[in-house]
Amino acid sequence: MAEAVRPRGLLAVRLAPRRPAIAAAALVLAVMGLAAVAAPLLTPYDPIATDTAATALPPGSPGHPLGTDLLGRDLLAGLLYGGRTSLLVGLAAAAMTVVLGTLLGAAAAAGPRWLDSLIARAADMLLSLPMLIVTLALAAVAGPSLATVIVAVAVTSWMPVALIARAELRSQRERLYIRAAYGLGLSGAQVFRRHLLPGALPPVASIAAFEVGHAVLTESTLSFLGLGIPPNRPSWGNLLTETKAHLLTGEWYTVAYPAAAIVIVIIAVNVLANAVAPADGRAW
Amino acid sequence: MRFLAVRAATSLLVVAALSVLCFGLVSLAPGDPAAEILEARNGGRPVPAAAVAALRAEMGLDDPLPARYARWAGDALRGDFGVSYLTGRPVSETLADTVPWTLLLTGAATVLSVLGAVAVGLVAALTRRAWLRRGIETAMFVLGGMPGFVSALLLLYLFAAVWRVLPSGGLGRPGEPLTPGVVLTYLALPALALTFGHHFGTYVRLIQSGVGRLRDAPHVENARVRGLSRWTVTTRHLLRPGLVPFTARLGVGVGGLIAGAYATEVIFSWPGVGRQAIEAARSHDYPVLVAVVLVTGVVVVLANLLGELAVARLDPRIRRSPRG
Amino acid sequence: MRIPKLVIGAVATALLAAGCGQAAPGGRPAQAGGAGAASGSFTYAIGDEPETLNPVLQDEHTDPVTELVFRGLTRHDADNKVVPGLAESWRVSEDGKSYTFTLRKGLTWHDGKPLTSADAKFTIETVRDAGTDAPLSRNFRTVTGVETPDETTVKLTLDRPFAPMLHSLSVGLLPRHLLEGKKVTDPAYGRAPVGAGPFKLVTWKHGQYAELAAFDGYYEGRPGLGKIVIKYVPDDTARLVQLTGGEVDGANIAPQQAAKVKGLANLRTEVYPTADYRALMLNFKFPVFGDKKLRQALNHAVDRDAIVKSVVLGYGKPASGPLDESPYAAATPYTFDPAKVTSLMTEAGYAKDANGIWAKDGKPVRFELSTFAEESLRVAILNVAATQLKAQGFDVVPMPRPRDQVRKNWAGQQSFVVGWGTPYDPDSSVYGPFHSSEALSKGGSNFGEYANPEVDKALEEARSTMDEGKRRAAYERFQKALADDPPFVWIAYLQTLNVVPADMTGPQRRTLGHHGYGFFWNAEKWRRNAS
Repeated sequence: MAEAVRPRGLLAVRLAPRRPAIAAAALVLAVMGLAAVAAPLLTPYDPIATDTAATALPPGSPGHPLGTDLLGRDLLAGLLYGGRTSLLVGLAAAAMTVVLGTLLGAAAAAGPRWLDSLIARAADMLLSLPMLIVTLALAAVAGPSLATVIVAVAVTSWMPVALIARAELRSQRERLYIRAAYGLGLSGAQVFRRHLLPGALPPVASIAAFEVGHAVLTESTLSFLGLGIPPNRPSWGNLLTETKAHLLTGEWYTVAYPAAAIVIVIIAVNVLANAVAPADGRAW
Repeated sequence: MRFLAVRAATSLLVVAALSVLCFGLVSLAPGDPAAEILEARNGGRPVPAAAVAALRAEMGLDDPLPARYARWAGDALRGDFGVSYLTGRPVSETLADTVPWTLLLTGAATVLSVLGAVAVGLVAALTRRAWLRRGIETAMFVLGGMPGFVSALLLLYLFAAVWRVLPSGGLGRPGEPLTPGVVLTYLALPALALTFGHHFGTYVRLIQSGVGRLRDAPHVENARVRGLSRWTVTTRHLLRPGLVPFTARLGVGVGGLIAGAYATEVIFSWPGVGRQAIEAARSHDYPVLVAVVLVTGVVVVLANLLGELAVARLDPRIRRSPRG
Repeated sequence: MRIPKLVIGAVATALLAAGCGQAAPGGRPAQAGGAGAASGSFTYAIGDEPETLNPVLQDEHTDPVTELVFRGLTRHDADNKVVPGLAESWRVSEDGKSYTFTLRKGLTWHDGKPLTSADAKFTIETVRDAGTDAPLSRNFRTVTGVETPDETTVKLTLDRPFAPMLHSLSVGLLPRHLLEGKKVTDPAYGRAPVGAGPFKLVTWKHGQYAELAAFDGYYEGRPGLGKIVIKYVPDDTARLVQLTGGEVDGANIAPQQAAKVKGLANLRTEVYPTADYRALMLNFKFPVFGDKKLRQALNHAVDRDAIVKSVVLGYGKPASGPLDESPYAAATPYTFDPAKVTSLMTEAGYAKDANGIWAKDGKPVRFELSTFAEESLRVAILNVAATQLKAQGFDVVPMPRPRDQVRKNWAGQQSFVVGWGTPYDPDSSVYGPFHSSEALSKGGSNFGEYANPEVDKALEEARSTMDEGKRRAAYERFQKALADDPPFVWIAYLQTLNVVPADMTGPQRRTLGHHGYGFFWNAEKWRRNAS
């Protein structure tokens, strides 16, 4: 099982975290999150409102610090509102992954044997498939929407969480202090919360953090391929799709903003995830 | 090799499950394929219900689900994946045209990944210069945070637009014979993009830690003291055992590469299967989509199997325990 | 393990060699002109690729390959007038119910088989009977009989006069010997078609390119170019890069790219008008569009000049109706006039609410504006128009949707950026979208369910009269009725930009069709003159 738990892709990139890096990552994420939440306060523009009198302005133009696109839409507004969508997808998908994974893991640990092996086989199968392909098929059937992206990410990423939750619950279940807790009359839910959850929390928290970055990446890839967030709703992936044509025609900055936002979020999240990961580095 | 038999059986099971999943996906997907075909022909306008019903009957869509699965699976086993809803072209022909190019692209990217990661990883593990190691680590960390398509766009911008040393995409000039030289010229950019966009940082890290762990180990020191050449020490005593975690990871990584090839192919107009998949997903061309997913799944499962085989060769301990 | 290592080494070495060597095509623009001239070849990059090259399965706007491979009994000249094609002459009876065509002598198909009147009969009957399989079938519903008294004579009998008949017969003829007994939708034929046009198809690699070679047996003599390659490059930017890098000789480009090509001495940009217009279709199933005064106000609320200037950088012109680019043009333009919007809306009983939105009986004017999300030009028009309408007090929600989501639910689109228009006979592009019998719910292409008895009457008369004067009068009445009771908010006619090598002669300006299709209309006369 330990083999199967190994996370894929960027999840496995590790940098020995140092304190200033952690602080910087946390600060960057906090600033980006705040900026996304406070987008209407930070820019007077509607991200999809065009302005035929102010098209294709370069960065540093008065009133448009990052410039405008060919239809006069403010690039800063797009970036801020796009951050709302992308970060929302990231957080929601991570939350859903953890909930789904914990539930399935708990079900596998506590449920009948056939359920345990069913969940384990399903996890094995999903782990052996590239998740983009599964996501692609899901998106094709369900049609592009915010919910599709979130669900697709969760459905293809719950396995590590489930395996950890299952292992943790199983190893703890038979311990004396757990039996003692039951003996003292605590309910199942209380035992779960007080004694079983804390052991599983650090590795799960680390996965959850990675998952935020992972979901941001998946959102952008799917939207870039036209299968993610519906068009005209700013997200970093959609901004990239719209602007990638300018890459070769001079307005490279229109591509650079959303691309940089995605890369920065993922790097910051990875730094944080490494910081909360179990110190022995056994799993990741 | 009991271990291998168990693994092969598991892989077969995964493929079978995948086929059921794929078929279910097609059958449960919203929309009536017969109506979609007719509407596509009619410029998106609705068509009379009688015409749809006739085509449904012709396509055998009214049969019960298990019967349809049996028929579909039987055909698929014989390499017949039906015809595209959109073009009427047999899906097997499309696959034959495109799958080899995707395999070439992922194969080239895998080779580049291995060579590049071994080189960079060794430098990072063996160098005594802290700034160099630190620099490589940081660069790999940043690379790890870069979505595959972003690095692809970056490479496209630099090589095709700014320096103009490599073609921006496609495969050869139309009508010109595809000599190996031409293919390699057009392959270079997508293969590089695929390499650096997927797992490269992870690979370097794995080799660095795998080899780094052994660098100052007593038996390696012993080998050096015995006066073995630097090359022998590095290859036999450091690289071979140091590669185990990396090789184990590579099998999974190849699967990721094939998936990553989808976006790369779209960006570089590479005539592989990924572009077909995206097009099919967008236009609900389920026969094509399902065949592509299935074929990709089989390739990935095979790659995983090969990866484990390689690990077993490198590390005899694994061969003895079936569950790794 | 030894063999893989060897392979690894070989591939890597070759890759490196290719990367550093001179083989890179990016560095060969100097060579491209010379190589092209020697064989007289032309490689042209375009975005859209058809699913089939069978002309009767496409609409009357055919893609370049189909256009080059096929020829009909009639064809169109530089003014889009009907002139002889495979038929050298014809006679139309006084009552418009009988057509007699005389085919040219010695016509052959690309495969060398003779082309006779039997092929013409086969094509007309096949298309007529194809029903929903072939959109062009609607043009032949009036044909009751086709006779072939001899090898070069075709006689059509109609049950009632149909003015667009000569135009309809410009559809490419299909070879009977290859298609008889098969369905017209036969995919094998659609992939490897055999026609009688100036160029024959050599290969079609779906997703990559189609290669065509001059047809020696073409009835006007061997074409000037030996080879034409149509390369499919969906991405606008990739097309430009391949063009400037010399990977292709010519390309269809976006207006935003015109400036990048202008400075290059070896290329020339041909800018042609098209009859392809964009408009906001209003869906009459939604009561918000019931009042014609409101629809007039919408038409006065968009600033067409600003849209043309920003979205297509001036490569287009404001639209005032569906026939602006046809010989029957008679519509009066709607001006951008906020004062008029206010007066019309006030007359209709609307007043602005607290949010500055026009409202009546407490209900604000609010509707969705949609379009195909895949088409960036339509999405751009959608966003600019939505912003402009919002500024005039209409609460427009911009909502582009994926193409197949729209196709499944045309009826649910409240308003939509549509593209219609034809440079040929106007009938096909006005009868379908505006006649009430063609309503979506009846399987037609009047997606907005527009119904106006006056419009119906004028359209019927225009298609069934053989008298040019009466036809003109009918289309005038039609355009007047549309202006008074607008079904659409007219936006703009587009121009199309095609880049060709500077040494190319022959391309001639003509009003083109949808997607700018029709650029290759006289390609048999093109040649490359470089030394």
